[in-house]
Amino acid sequence: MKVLVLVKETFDTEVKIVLENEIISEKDVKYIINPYDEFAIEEAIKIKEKLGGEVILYSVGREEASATLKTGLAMGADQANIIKSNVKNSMTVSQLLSEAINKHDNEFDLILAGWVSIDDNNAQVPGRLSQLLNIPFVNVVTKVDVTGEIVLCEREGEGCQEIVEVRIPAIIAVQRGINEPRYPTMKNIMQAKRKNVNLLELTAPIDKVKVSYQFPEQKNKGEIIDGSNPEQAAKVLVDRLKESKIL
Amino acid sequence: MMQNILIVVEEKDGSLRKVCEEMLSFCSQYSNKLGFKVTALTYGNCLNQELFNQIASFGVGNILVIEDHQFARYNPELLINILKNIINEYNPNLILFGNTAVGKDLAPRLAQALKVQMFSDVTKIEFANDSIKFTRPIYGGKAIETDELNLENKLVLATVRPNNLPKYENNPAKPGIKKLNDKVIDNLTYTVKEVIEKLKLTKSINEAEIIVSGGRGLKNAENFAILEDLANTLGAAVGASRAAVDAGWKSHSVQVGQTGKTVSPKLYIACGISGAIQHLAGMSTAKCIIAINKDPDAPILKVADFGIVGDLFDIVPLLTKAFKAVTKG
Ligand SMILES: Cc1cc2nc3c(=O)[nH]c(=O)nc-3n(C[C@H](O)[C@H](O)[C@H](O)COP(=O)(O)OP(=O)(O)OC[C@H]3O[C@@H](n4cnc5c(N)ncnc54)[C@H](O)[C@@H]3O)c2cc1C
Ligand SMILES: Nc1ncnc2c1ncn2[C@@H]1O[C@H](COP(=O)(O)O)[C@@H](O)[C@H]1O
Repeated sequence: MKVLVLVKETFDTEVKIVLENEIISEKDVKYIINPYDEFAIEEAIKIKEKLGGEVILYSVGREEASATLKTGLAMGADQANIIKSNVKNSMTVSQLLSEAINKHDNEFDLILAGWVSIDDNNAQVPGRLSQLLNIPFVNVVTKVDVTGEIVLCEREGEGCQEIVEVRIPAIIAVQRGINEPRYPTMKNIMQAKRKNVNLLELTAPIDKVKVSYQFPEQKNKGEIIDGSNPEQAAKVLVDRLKESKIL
Repeated sequence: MMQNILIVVEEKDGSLRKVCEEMLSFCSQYSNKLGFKVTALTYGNCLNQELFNQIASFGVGNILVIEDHQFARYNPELLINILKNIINEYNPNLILFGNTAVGKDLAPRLAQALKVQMFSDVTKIEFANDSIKFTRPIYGGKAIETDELNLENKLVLATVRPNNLPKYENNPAKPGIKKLNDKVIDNLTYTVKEVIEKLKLTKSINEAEIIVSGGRGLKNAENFAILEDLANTLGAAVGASRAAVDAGWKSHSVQVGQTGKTVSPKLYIACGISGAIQHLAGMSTAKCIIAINKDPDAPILKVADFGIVGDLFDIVPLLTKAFKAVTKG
C-alpha cells in the first residue's frame, strides 16, 4: 500500500492572534500539525503496519514546516514533501496538491487527510482533491478497514453513522475518535532525522478573492453573580435573562 | 450583479432544517430589495406538498424538485452529478448550502466540479453592486475572515452556519413547483452499505437554540442527570467538554470545541467547564453565555455574559426550579 497523508501546519491552539493591517501576523508563532492530520498519519501508519508499503506526507506551506513534519516522520511516516507556497485559498492548495501528486506519486493507493483544518476552518481540500484526481472520497470517517482493493469506512452522517464502501484509489478524511495518535519514542525521533523532507517547487495560479482579517466584536463585560446563596443566585439569573429578553 | 441564487434545501422528518429557513428568509428579503431571483432546490425519495408550502412561506416560490428512490440514503456522488446538470441549466451566481453534515460534504465537491470558489461556515453575507462579501469565524472564533469576490457573472458557493443569518417576516409566495427528471446515474463508486441511526433520545446540539453543557466538574456520568433536567425544562440540548467526553461520560457527538462541534446557540449554559481556549473555539459565537463555576478565576467567566460563582450541584437544580416557574407563569 502506498498511502499519502495531507498534512497542514497550523498555529498551536494556544497562540494569541495578532493582526497587522488586517493580516494575521506569523511572528513568534509556535506551529503544530493540524490535530486531525495527526489522526490521519496514525491511521496511515496502522495500515502500513498491517499491509506493508509506505507512508508519504504532503504539505503545502512554509519551507520551515519541515521541523513540524518531523513529528509525522517520527511517528513512522517514511518521507515528506513540502510544496513551498504561501497560498491559503483552498482551491489553489488543492490544485497544487493534485499537481504534485500526479507528478511524483500518481500510483498511490490511498490518500488520508483531516476533515478540517482548525485554523482556517475550510473543510474543503479533501473534497476538492477527490474531484481533481477523480477518485471516490469518504468524509468525516471514524473507522477505516482496508481489505485488498476494498475500503470500508464508518462515517458521521446527519444523526447517524454510515458504512460506506469504496475501492482504491480513494481519499478519506478522518474525524477524531478514529484512533489515538502515538507518541514518538526518542529512538524514533533520532531515526526521523535521517528521513527525507523534499522541497517541491510549483507555480500557483493567482486567485481573485480579496481577504482581510478582523477581530470579533468585543462583548460587553459580563456580570458575575455571587453563588454563596444559591437560591438567590438562581433567582437573579432568571430575572436577568428575562430583562435582556433572552427568555 | 447578483441575478440568481440557488438554495439547496434540506429537510428532516418532513420539515425544513432551521438553517434552511434562515437562508430562504434572508435571501428572499434581499431579492425584493436588490431584484435578484431566488430558487430553492429540494431532493428526496418522497417529498410532500407540506414541505413546499413551508419553503414558499419564506417568500421563495420557485422550487425545483428532484425525486428518486435512490435518495433514501445520502450519497454525495449521486447528488453531485445531478447538481452539476441543474447548475449548467439555471446559471446561478450563488449557491447556498446549510453548514450541515450534508452541506459540508457536498459543497466542496461541487465547488471543484464547477471549478469555482467556495466559503465555508459563513455567518454573514453582504451584497454589493457587482461583488459579494462573506464573513466567517476562523481560528476557533479568535478572528474573523472577510472575503470579497467580484461576481462578473461568475458563480460562488457558500455553506451557512445555523443561527446566524437574520430571519425576517417575509410575505409568503405561491409555491411554483418544477419537477426535474434528470437521469440518476447508477454506476457509483461510492456505496452506502448500511445506515446506523443514532438514538433519537438525545437532542442534537448542531442547530439547538439552547445548549446546557457539562465538564469535568460534573464528576461522573450519572450527575449529567441534573443537566438533563435543566435541558428538558428549557427544551435544550446537552453538550459536553472534551474532558467529560474523554472520561466516557458523554459521546463525542456532543463534544463542543475545537475537536468537537462548533455551535452558535442563542443561549449556552456551561456547568463545571473551565473554559479552555479549545472549548471556547466551539461556542464563543453563542449570543448569550452563562457559566456556573466554583472557581472565580475560571477563564469561562471572562467570556460569560452572566457567571455564577458557586457549586453547580447546588445551583443547577435550583435554576431548573426557577426556570420551571417562569415557563409555567
Ligand atoms: C488539540 C486540542 C484540542 C482540544 N479540543 C477540545 C474540544 O474540542 N473541546 C473541549 O472542551 N476541550 C478540548 N481540548 C481540551 C481543553 O484544553 C481542556 O482540557 C478541556 O476543555 C477541559 O475540560 P473541562 O473544562 O471540562 O475540565 P477542567 O478544565 O478540569 O475544568 C473543570 C471545571 O469545573 C469546575 N468545577 C469543578 N467542580 C465544580 C462544582 N462542583 N461546581 C462548579 N464548578 C466546578 C472547576 O472549577 C473547573 O473550572 C483540546 C485540547 C487540545 C490540546
Ligand atoms: N496546505 C495544506 N497542505 C497539506 N494538506 C492540507 C493543506 N490544507 C489542507 N490540507 C488537508 O486538508 C484537510 C482539510 O483542510 P481544510 O480544507 O483546509 O480545512 C486538512 O486536515 C489536511 O489534511
